Amino acid sequence: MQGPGVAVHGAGDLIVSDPTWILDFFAAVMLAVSAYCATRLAVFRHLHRTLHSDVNVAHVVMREAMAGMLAPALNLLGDSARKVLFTGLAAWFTAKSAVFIARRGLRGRSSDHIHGVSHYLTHLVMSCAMLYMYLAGVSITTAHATGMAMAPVAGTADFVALPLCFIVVLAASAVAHVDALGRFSPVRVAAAAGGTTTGGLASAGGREDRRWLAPRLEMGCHIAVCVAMAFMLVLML
Amino acid sequence: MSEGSGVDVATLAEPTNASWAPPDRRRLLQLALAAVWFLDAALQLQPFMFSRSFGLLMLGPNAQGNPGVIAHPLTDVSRSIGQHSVGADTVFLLVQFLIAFGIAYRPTVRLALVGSVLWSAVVWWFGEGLGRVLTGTASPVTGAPGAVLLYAVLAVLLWPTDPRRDDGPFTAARPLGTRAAQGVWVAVWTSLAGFALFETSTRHPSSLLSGLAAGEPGWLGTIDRHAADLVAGRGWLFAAILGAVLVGIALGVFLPAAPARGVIALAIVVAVAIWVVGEDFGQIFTGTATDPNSGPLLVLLAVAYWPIGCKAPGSPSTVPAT
Repeated sequence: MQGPGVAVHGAGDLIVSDPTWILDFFAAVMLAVSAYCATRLAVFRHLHRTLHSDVNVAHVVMREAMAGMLAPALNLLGDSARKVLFTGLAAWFTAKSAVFIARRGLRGRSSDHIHGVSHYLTHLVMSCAMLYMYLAGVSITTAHATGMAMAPVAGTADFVALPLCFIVVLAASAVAHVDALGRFSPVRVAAAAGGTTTGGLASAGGREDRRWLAPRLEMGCHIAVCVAMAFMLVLML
Repeated sequence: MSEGSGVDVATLAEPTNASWAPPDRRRLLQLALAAVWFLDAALQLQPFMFSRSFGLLMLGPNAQGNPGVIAHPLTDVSRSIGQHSVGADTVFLLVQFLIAFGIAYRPTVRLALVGSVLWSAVVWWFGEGLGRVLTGTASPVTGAPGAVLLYAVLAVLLWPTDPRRDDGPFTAARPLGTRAAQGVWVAVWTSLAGFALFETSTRHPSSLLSGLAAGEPGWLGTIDRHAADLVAGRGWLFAAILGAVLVGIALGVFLPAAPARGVIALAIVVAVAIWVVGEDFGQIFTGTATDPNSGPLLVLLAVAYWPIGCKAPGSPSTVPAT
């Protein structure tokens, strides 16, 4: 079985361990994403913008956890607490997905006309992937070779198809988000138009008349997370 | 970037760009190709790929059995990769991520598809030893003539064209025309049939399959062993049946739409069977796979040839390819 704690592949001195700078790089990126999403949550009301609070909370929690898995020194919370947290997140996004499908169907769009059910399903998969990594993981001391805080236990060997499924979803989500970046490309609007034109987000009032906060940066964060999480799951195949 | 600051209210970006259109069928296939490139790049992040073994023990042996003009440069490059393993692998994974995201990002899709073709050609030679097609050991069951060749084929077939043009009988017909696209389909599947019928490895499928079980998860190893037992002593029969099925798939592209759909569905089933049983999901679970092998790409190719509705009034639901 190949795993993050296994850096030697049976070919003697020909094999070297995973370069640790990759772990540090992804840990730094995840910390930055976590901090950015926390900032979004803090300022979006002040800026009269809108966002999905639950998704941004999930990003903060997951990215901080991923940084802790990649760099053990950043691992601030116990594994048990993490498991409870990600179980809760998975349950939340399961409920959100179910409600969305019940109200709008599989092909429907949310009231902001931007998000479909895949938005919630993707975060459900991410939550499940985090949970998998914690359930399949062992203590930090096992992962001495690469420095990664989690390494799969032997009993998970026959469940390696699960991380592969997660990776496929993450790959699809990442490329779909890159494709959709053009949807939010800047278009200068005439100030004389009334100043409140909001394209697909326009509504009679309420929350939807506020524009989405930095959509492309949020998508960029999501893409970065997909890459980092795919990296971690690949190590668990 | 106005929305990045979140405060530039007077000249803001519109939340949605009216010129943006949801992905059509061909765009979805391009995105699927991008996702496979993404998976390739992610696999390149495995610890093994940063080791000297990647160059010396994985790439180097592909030179064996190849003509000198192919083998010598391959050996030199694999040694060089082995000696500079971390730097080389970093370049490889960055190139593959760039291709993936380049295809996914609409303004760069053409550039990325060209990159996909060029990178595929390089990898086919220096990474796969031309799929071992010149060594007499190539088998469609294990991915011949090389998965990476299919990336290049798909990049050509999914080349962006004017959306106002007629779609043709299937998505892959748009950039090349129906006849040329049919020729590509026939070339791919008849070559697979040729490898099945005339290469010795396919006539000994039992040893081929049983050898795959090592290093795989228990359930996959069990599948391999059962499959090996099933074809043990029936190598010729297996090769003949597989060859006949592949030839049938190759010719199925010339059928009218309804039976063509059946043949394309058969192609998808065969591709999935090859991927699971013969390729062991590209041996992804061994920690040494660089790609998911040819199975998913054959599925993608088949979907690109799925007959689609004809817009012309009074014509059949799809255009008979003949």
